[in-house]
Amino acid sequence: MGTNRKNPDHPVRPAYRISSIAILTAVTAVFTLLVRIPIAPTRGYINLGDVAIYFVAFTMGPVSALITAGLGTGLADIIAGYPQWALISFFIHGIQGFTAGAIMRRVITDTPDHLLILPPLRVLAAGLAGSAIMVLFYYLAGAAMAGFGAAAVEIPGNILQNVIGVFGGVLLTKAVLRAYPPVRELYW
Amino acid sequence: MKVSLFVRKDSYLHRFDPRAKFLLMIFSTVYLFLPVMQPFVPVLLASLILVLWTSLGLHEVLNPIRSIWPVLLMIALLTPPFYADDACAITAALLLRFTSISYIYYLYFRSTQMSRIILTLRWFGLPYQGALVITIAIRFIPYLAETFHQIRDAHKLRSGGLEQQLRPWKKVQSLIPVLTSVMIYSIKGIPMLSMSLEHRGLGALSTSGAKVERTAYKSLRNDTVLFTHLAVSGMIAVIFISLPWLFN
Repeated sequence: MGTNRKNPDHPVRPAYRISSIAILTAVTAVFTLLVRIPIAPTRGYINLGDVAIYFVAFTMGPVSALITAGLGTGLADIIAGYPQWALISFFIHGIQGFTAGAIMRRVITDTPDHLLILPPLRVLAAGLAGSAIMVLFYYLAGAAMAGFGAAAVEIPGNILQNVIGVFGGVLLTKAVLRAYPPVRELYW
Repeated sequence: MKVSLFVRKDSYLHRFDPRAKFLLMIFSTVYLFLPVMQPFVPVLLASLILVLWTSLGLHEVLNPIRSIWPVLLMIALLTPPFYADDACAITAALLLRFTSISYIYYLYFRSTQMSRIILTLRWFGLPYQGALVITIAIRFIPYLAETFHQIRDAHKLRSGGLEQQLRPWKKVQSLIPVLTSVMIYSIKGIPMLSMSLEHRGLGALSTSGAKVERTAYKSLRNDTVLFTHLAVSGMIAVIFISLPWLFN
């Protein structure tokens, strides 16, 4: 059984873990499905699922990010009518969230309550690593399914989605920390 | 908000055991990537379309194509420059593969209820807590989607809809207050959900300290129907695997 870093004597109960992962999985799916920003040149959309992924990675740690990112985006693919991508999204976004969470490990819990500053170098490293994994693995999976040419078309959109995801994730983390400091207790 | 692709019908595909369908789905996916089976992918695709037509109706046959046609167009346009020799054959193979994959997963999720998929995953060894996470997440998605719409509408009343004219990055910035509200609202619900799960006995320990399983999932039955459907699935797999030898 894991322990909460802010209060090591208080074990993180199984019901609390299940609830937090389930609700944040649903949030990730909702951000992926409902929040879409049109990109003018291609008339395509980018979604804000990555904002939720980086938020969970920054605030809840790598294990939570692994599960919520994988399940949330996989469920979103099934609901949106693209079930052929669900398994791929599950693994790729899961690894993306885990990597970003592992690099940002304990930043939230080790930062004093009155500070709302995320270390820029670690944010950059987490964002770069998470983005590189997502873009590279989607390219490889897309190439295996649809060929290198068609898979390459997705690269600029995926990079943009990750850039927005990292910056949006940082803004969201700081805004939530400011408005609701007990969010730090979610880390395990 | 619908949280699955499932459509209720009484077709043979709907009645087919979800575990046997799951195994067939995995088999078909692997089949598409085996080099020796490439000449027979059109046979697989034709079979998938036939199953879709006879189980869900003709109007369903074009549904997967409607969602994947931009990808098919990209494959047709961008694959040939990558290959000097056999460009047409490789392009055709990729078109067939991607279309087949889309049909395989569409068939499975269109004909299987989400609850049955979770029970199938349980049967294949998904832990109780993993199944519970998926179940709760699926139940919360429509609820949080509705909450998101309400919060966004409330914020729009203050912005006067001016965010529609913003550039993408400014749009993201303008969305942060909405996302913050949704996130805090969701996080505040965690202790309540956790408490209700504990009231149902989740994580409870007996007086001896052993774990007590007080809630449980129903199990899919291991009966003759399962055996028959697994046997049919096995026969289908054997027929497709033996195609290269049958035609040589």
